[in-house]
Amino acid sequence: MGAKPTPGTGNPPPDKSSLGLAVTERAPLPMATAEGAAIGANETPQIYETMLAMNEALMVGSVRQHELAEAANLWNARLQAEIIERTQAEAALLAARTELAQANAELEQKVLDRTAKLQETVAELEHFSYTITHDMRAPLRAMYTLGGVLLAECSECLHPTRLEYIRQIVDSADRMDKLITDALQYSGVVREHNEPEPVDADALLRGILESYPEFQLPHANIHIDTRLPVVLGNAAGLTQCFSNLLANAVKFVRPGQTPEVRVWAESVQTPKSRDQPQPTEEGPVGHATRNTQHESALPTLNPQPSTLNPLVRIWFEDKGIGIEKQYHDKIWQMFQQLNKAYEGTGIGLALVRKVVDRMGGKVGVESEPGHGSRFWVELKPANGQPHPKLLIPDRPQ
Amino acid sequence: MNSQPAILYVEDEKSDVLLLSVAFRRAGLLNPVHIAVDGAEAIDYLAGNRPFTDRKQHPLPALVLLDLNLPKKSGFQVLSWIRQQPQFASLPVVIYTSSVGLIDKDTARLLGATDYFVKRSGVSHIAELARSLAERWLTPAVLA
Repeated sequence: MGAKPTPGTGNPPPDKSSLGLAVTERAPLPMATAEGAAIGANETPQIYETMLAMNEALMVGSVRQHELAEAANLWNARLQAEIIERTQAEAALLAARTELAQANAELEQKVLDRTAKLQETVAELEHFSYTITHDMRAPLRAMYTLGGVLLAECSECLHPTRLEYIRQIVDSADRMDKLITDALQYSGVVREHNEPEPVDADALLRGILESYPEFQLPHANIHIDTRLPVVLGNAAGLTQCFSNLLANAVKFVRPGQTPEVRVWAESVQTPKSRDQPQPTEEGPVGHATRNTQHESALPTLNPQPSTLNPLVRIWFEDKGIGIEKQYHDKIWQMFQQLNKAYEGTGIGLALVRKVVDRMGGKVGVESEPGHGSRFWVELKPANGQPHPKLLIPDRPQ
Repeated sequence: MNSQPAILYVEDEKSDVLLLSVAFRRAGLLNPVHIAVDGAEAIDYLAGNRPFTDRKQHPLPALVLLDLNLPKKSGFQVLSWIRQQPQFASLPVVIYTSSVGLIDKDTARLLGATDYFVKRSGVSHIAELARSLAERWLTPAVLA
């Protein structure tokens, strides 16, 4: 109990709570009664009691006030400490932000510098290509043409061995010129970024066959089995692709053999996209998100037809010398010539792969030595659907 | 003295100059071919500036054969200069270049080139070139 013994009286503290408010309730005021003298006799102890209670209340109040002040001081100190801490944190944050902004600016500058450097390199490369076309080919033109003049005018006056030397010079100049042209074409493909557009592969292929005598009888027997579809790509790239595949098909035959080539198209199904997340890689969150979007988009391990994209595969089959299995990957690389008995620059198939790659397609080969080769290119059909003429159940064997 | 109309061939590549002379010899053309090795020299020749003041030694050509990729002044600069001169308004100027670019061809046409030949290799090519030049620009009709 908070009440203390009152000095000078020896009386125990009144049995009441130490709250002053309770005292007023218990001590009705004397003037509130109408009973005169009887009230006067009781007056003193009541006032005394009231004073005691008030005194006590005052003491309690002062103790409480002291406690509150102390608590307030404590809180104040804590707040001050916290404010200092926060100010420091803010300063640190600001410093970090400034640093980050600076790092960002530096990074941006670096990207700008690198981009400028790259553009410079590209411009230099383009200039290099231009120089090759104009300056490096001029001496070859002279070698080839003047050699030709010598062969035409000196066939009588020169010894056959020497004529053969001249012929060799002419051939070498010609080969060098072809190498340069092919390399330029390849570098042109590497740099070009054409938006794919619908190309009539059938008309394009027939156009190529008509314009080159080496693709016609009696030099070669090339047959188109099915009508080729309209594909997504660009005509220049597809021309390079087809003409290189055909040139290979008619070139790599046994000596004396008339090349026989067949071309056809078929529709193939492949999964829509390789980078679509597989179910095993996907957590429950991913599933939940997908479900809310559209349920049919849920990937499955065994893709249903709805998740497939039809592609067009165009085959070029020859009855030539064939390629050993161990070289089936190697032939697509630059300057890979398997058989030196056949003339070439070693760029053709690299070019084919590059242009098909640029059109978002794929290339491949099936071949066995002595049993010919089947090259294929896979391209996107122009309308996203297989060409109606393509749906041929069986290819005649 | 050679009475055949003269040709001015503007070319910096020596081997191409040789090839043209071979082409003319094989085609039996006797037209004198004068050479300017860069664009500035071509303009000096046509303008009769020194050292080309003597018209007996450096006659005005009946045909200009013009390469595009030239030192000092490009073929296009020479072509546009020629077309700005009233006396050369109808002078045949044939572009002879290794450039197969459509932009070059269109630019040449816009600037007033008479024709455009692409340099190629081979005996048959130079024979065809000599024949075309002779038939189209060096016939007696040009002389008359």
